[in-house]
Amino acid sequence: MRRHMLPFVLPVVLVAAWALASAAGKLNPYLMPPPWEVWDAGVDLARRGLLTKHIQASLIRVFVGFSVTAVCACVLALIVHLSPLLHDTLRHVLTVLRVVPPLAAIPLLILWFGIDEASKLAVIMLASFFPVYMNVLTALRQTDRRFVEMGQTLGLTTGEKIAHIFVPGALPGVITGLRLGFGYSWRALIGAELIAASAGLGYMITEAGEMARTDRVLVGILIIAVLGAAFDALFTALARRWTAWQALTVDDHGRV
Amino acid sequence: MLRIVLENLKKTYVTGGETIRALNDVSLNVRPGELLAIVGYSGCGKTTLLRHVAGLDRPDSGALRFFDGETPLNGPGRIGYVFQEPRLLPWKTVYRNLELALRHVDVSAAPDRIIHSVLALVGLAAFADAYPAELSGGMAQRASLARALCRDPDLLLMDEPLGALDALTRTHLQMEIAAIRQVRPVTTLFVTHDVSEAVYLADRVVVMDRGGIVHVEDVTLPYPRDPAGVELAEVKARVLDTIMRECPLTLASIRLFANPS
Repeated sequence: MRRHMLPFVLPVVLVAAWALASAAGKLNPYLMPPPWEVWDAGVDLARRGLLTKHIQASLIRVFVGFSVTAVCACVLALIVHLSPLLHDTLRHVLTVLRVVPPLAAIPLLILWFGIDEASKLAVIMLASFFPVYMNVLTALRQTDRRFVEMGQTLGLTTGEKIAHIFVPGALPGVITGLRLGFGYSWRALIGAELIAASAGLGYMITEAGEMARTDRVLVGILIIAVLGAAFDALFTALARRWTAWQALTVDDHGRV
Repeated sequence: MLRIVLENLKKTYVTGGETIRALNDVSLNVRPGELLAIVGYSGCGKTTLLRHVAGLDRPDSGALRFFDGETPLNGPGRIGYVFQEPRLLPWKTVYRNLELALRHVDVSAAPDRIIHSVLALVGLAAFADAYPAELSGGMAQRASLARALCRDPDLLLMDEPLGALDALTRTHLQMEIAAIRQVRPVTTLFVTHDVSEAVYLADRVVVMDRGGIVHVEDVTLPYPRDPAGVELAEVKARVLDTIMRECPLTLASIRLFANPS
């Protein structure tokens, strides 16, 4: 078997085991419905247009929230990196914000922003800001001092150093931060929708749970999982493309 | 052409609780257009001196003055700095690395032509589109040399630029540097620990030890020089003799150097 097929083996085995156990009557269909019933529930929700509606609601939230956060976190990390004074000023405030789980702030956010989009976006921002910010800042910190010195001897301006040295040097860390941050915002979004929403995958799950529709709950969970994994794969692909220079190996023997 | 006056430069570093006198009252006149070689043991302050001239480090006391003839200048002008290691940006091709170096240079010819001709000069014509990680150590160092040369600098600062190269490439590039100097002499500080290289290339050889200048040797032989010639061998012998006499490398002296109190 080809090596790249290997990661798909275990998921297939698990689903097969689930199907076999269901068929053999070993699983309580009320608590854990068989895979075909989950599939039917998914098809049914899709036919009625509910699936698209909920997926769309969640995706729009996560994209808007995450894009805003990613830009803010990257820009703030760059400014803080270039200004040690600002770093010291913000340190404790940022630490306090970072260690508070965003879900703990939901009651307050709902009172401030209502149960509409604004409170959900706030949760996403709180959840994804720090993974991005911390990773970008660390990556900037690790930029080789020697390259900055080199840039100084070339007479580069601060803007040119940012564009040609800091940003490309930090890019691998930026992508790691974006990948982590997206994961966090996705999780936080579902959490926020579980608590208060009128649409979205989290809402769909809560609603199904209240009506004891475990098949629909499973549909929701599986969709969240597949979408999350797909975005993670997308970030990995982007990382490979943007930091191709990192994959090059040193050729010690020369190729003259 | 650029002239540099160093007046009583002092610089101490504290490393691991030990105070190190990297520059101990260094005074020196660098003449317009000359190649001044600086030789000495590792840790004698050669690199520190170069970094001060480039403005990468500030002295604790003393002054650096730059002149064009008798006209005082604010700084050294355009620098071509060849570091001990290549310092090529790994995310840019060789061509893009050189292009960045030309950013603040008013060039008469098209940048593209300059880059390709300088790369040809250091034997990297076929590697313009290679990434630094694809080059061998010697090739990367040549690319770094090309980056400094393409800027048509007012001041060349070279910190053991040929130290990591194989003997053949090294000899070849020494001859290239000598040849370039005949066409366009640039005020140059050239750090090396190879005394043969120093006397072959330099107008003057400065011997440094424990942060101070212990000897300055004039090399008056005309270019092109014969690297195997008797005259050069005599100069080399004189410099080596000075180093042996003036710079005793003993354990006691290293301790003394580390604890100046």
